Amino acid sequence: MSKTITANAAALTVETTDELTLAIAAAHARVSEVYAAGSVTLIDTISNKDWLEWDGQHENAIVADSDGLEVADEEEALPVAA
Amino acid sequence: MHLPDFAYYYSLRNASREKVASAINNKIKTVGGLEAWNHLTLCSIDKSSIDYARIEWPKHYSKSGHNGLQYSWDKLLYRFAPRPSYFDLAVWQIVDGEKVLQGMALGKPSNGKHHLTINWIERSYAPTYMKPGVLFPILACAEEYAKLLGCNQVLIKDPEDPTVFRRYGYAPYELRKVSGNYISKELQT
Repeated sequence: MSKTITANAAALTVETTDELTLAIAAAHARVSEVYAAGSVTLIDTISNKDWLEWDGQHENAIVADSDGLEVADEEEALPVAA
Repeated sequence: MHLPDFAYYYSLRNASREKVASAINNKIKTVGGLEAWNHLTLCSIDKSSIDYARIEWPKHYSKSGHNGLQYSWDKLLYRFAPRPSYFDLAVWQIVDGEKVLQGMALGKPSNGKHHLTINWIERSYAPTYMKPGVLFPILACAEEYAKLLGCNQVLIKDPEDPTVFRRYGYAPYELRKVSGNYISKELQT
């Protein structure tokens, strides 16, 4: 009996937590929190008819930041009042 | 680079892609559209996607009128990668047995995570370009990532044709103290 208790106690004293595993666990927790109440993606908002007919082949999808390689820390820029 | 921070935000980006992939798969199962969406991969920008954009995409530039971005994707990723919370996406698809890069996108959240901005998108102009277009999965992933970050909006900075984004719910948006033309969408969480 005492050998079993000792073996069980030993089994609990070694684990693998480090900063990386904590970070990944925190991300998983965040995902669970956000999606707990359900979430509608852009895909889900499209009607069935639109989904089947959706054609983006001729879309000009290009986005090119006029600030170029300047990736400045963005302030919380304020929207202009409507 | 603080690796735990990178791991945290990478995990959120990956979760956003999984959410969108799941939504697409569900739509295919319940509604259809397999041919247009089949064999799609939503993943990080990496060396293979950067090399593909550099070598393959230019072969189709002159026909389209698009002659590439001002900067290589290598340079763009280099500028964004030091911020662990950056947004990135490469959209690959297997077409006739060949792996084709359909599009890429890069962006970043504001400091207070109020909004996520997409700063760069480029698409393929090859004949193998996917019928639905890359904006659909790119914007879907950006919006899911923004929700996970706690952002209220997604902004697109300097789209060449802002009207193209209207049907995805984006409207003109003016910001003080910054340059550039923005469109935006409020997120529903």
